[in-house]
Amino acid sequence: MRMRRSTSAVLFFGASLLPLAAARAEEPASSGKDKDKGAEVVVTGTRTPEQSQRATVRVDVVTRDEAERRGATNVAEAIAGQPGVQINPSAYGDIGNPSAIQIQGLDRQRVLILEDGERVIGDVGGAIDLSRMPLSDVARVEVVAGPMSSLYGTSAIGGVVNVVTGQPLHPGFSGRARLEGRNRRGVIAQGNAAWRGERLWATLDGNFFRTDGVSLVEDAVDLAMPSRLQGMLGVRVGGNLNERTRIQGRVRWIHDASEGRTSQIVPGLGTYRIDLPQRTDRFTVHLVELVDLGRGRSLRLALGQQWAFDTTQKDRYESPIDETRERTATLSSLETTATFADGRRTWVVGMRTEVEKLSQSLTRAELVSGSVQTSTIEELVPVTLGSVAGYAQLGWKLFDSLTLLAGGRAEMHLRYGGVAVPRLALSYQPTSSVTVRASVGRGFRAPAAKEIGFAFDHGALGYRVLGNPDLRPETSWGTSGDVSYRSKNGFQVRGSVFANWIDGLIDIDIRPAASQGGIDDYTYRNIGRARTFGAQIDGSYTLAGVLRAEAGYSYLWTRDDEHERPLEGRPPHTVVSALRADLPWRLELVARYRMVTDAFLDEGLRTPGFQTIDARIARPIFRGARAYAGVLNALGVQKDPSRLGDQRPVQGRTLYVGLTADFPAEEP
Amino acid sequence: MKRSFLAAAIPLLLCACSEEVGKPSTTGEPGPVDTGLKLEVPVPADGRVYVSLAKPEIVVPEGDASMSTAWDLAFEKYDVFTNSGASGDGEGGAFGPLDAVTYDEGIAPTIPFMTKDEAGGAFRDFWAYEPSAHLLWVRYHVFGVRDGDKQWKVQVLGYYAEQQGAPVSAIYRVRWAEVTSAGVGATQTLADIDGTAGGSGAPLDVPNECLDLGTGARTMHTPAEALTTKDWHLCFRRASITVNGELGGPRGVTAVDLNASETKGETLDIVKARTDDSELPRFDKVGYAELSDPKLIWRGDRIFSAFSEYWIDREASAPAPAKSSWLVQSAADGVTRYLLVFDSFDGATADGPGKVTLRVKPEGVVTQ
Repeated sequence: MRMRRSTSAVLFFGASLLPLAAARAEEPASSGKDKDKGAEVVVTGTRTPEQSQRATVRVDVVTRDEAERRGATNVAEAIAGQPGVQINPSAYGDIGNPSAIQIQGLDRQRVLILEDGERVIGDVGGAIDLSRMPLSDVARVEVVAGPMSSLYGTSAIGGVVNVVTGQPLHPGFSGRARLEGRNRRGVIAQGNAAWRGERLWATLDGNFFRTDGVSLVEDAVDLAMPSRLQGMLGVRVGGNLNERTRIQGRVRWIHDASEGRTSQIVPGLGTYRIDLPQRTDRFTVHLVELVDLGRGRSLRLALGQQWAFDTTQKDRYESPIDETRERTATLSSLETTATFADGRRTWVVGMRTEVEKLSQSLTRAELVSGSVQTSTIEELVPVTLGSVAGYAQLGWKLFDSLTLLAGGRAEMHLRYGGVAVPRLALSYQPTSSVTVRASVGRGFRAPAAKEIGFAFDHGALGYRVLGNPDLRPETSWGTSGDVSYRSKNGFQVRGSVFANWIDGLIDIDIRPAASQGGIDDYTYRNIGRARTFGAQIDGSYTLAGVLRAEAGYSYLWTRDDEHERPLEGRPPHTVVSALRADLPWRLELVARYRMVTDAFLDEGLRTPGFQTIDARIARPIFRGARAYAGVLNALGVQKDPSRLGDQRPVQGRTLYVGLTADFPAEEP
Repeated sequence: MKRSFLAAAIPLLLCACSEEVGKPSTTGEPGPVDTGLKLEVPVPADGRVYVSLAKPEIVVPEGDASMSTAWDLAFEKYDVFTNSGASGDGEGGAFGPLDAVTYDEGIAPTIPFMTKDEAGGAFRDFWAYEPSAHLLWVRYHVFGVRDGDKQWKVQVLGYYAEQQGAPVSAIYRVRWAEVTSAGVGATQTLADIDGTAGGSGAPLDVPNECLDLGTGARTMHTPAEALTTKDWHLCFRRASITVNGELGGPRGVTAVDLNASETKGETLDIVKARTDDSELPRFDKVGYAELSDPKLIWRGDRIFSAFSEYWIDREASAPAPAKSSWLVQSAADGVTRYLLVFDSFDGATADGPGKVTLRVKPEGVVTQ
């Protein structure tokens, strides 16, 4: 014990100095052993803890252990291989290749990203970059497909991704560290150091990641993917104030910096190099108080505050003629949720109020009459968006095998008034091995600040894009159903279908709103309509805890009813499969396969389909420590920069080798 | 279990499962049949005549016509204007020319925008825009510029110059030469004509550089000054080159794009491949005979609409309308759209088309 304490003290001290040296032991406990997936507890679907297999709303879960088996270091990589989910950064090349998620054919502001139930801000072109969310303090990622606005409000049209952190289970000091090296001079260090007493606990989380950029054209200065440096430092604390009251707090700083590079061929002059440095800092503070009111009643008070600062530059090489764009966003929220269990009925009633502030400015150094002059314009005049929402949900166990879930949410926004969204779900378990679920509900997306107040001035070329303060929220109807069967001998199969109808999609109207002095003004309007339909079947088989095989197929059909064509970049067919096997000499092998078919981009233009194979092998090397090595995208499929709209991965084959260590070590 | 799967699959069975582009095919009845309504428009020797397309009929707007939404089209000599942009405050505009058969079919193809009327002249299409990089590539067209009995050929060579290690836009490079019946004079070149006008965010009263092609004199004028001074032929302001004639200024200068017929077929890749050297022969081959082609229309700056330079059949021996159709948007509501064809000119002269006969019908009506 004495030895353990001194070691943990060293670990704790190191972690406080360097994120690389941090360590952790978290819930769920890290183990290479198979886990009973049906026993996973999920919260995102109903805001109440449920076993995933019997949950009224289907929730897919990726635990941190599973994410690491996939070679993932961030949330994007963790859930990229999930059936029904697309994460193809190249599809968003126009906004810097963020790892945005697509669920049920919907993406960007139409999928809600949460951290412990709190909406994440700091989007890039409407998309939250999931690769900026490291796994250091993540216990699991829950994915719910379909409209969930009745519980979570804006953006929950296509689905919700909830990144859930945990708390230490081991009494006393504990820790975890992961150190990994990759090609392209990639280095990943993640860790946690934790302490748990009888009433209080605390963890220190750290993450460091760096990699070289990727160039797809030989001898060109252009980088298809910039070099990147990420850091994360976080502190989580919690404890029991008394027998009935618990508190949890989380403070986190995520830093993301990249160094992109491009070139510009200027007519008559030649090629100019432009460096594209980018820096994002996001700070979050999240406080939660949980009060057990007795007799199945509880109260949850959550206070959230986020700040996101983003700076992008166009730094002309060896020239003072530069551009700097700065974006600032803050989100303050207060949410109260009460849960009442009343026999077969469980009520969830909540209120949320939030205030979001955004601004964006562009500073240009220009040559005017031969001298450099700097000017700053506000592209997004500081705007404040506020809302108050109330929601209620009744989970009614009509029979032992049949549960009805009915809920709704009403929101009042400062900008555009009110919106109300209902939802109804049914879950039926005719036998212990079969679950049938169906749901229908509405979703909505509030107009983004950019769409309300943006000013993109290209007057020199005859046009401007202006925000429209009169926008209404986009709304949708969505329905889904799924059937799952789980045998006692480790076989599980699920089939599901869904459909969404979205109205009032916000887009730039290609008809000028006004023309003055030869300059056309374009603006955002609620002009679009779209539909998405799909089906999915997936299954898994576990043999004696030493072999697990998974496979899934997803079909997606989309229609942009405004332009009478499919939505862009939505692959209609996706196949994923995975195999995990415990081999002799305590080796664990994981292999994953993903096939994505070609997708519509424009009339006569499709992005090519592609296949990827990932593989990883791991082995315990001493108590609590495991060594691993693997390859991502073993086939080396890569984007062709000369092919218009190619959405294949920018990164080619990635090789990695690493080490994880847990303290205290789990018994073998 | 089977029933559950079937029930779950119903939404999919209800939808088409292909990725077709465009409207789904229909087996419904064809729309109503109509050849449209005919209107005869006598275009006066001076002034404008205004037309409303709803009936259709000739109308006389009350007060300032540019502020009225009672008219959709206006005819003035060989110009046709729509009630939009620089011509009027209406919600009008037009798109075309479209194939003549479009009028008979009654359905215009999906169009990205309606063309609003805007000021411009012979140089309005001297560049091609590269949207992905926000760059302007000069087309290297050769322009004729005429001032009284003097005339020049002008070629724009570039729009960018390097300053402080960076490319700066609106710094023009041009070459020009006087053309007379005796031959072509010496080629002159300038590489630093300042059209920046203080940058994109500068106010309107920042001056830009103007050029007298005869003397080579360079002067700085604000747009307001340029409208009242005669010491220039061409003014360079940001992405525009104006001519000192008609709406452009008081000197009576006219100009023509000698390669205008190529513009429609010039892809960005074609334009980007051109260089000063590769386009020198284009400049060199223009002489007195080329500038004397009677089919050329020499004009000062004026208002352009979707009809300008397209509604006249240039190949016809006598003035005649082009066999094309146009989609015109109602100035009053900005929503109603009409298809329109011109059938004939009666009594056309060099100054005007005389009586113009046109047919018009609301979009969506089929002609049998």
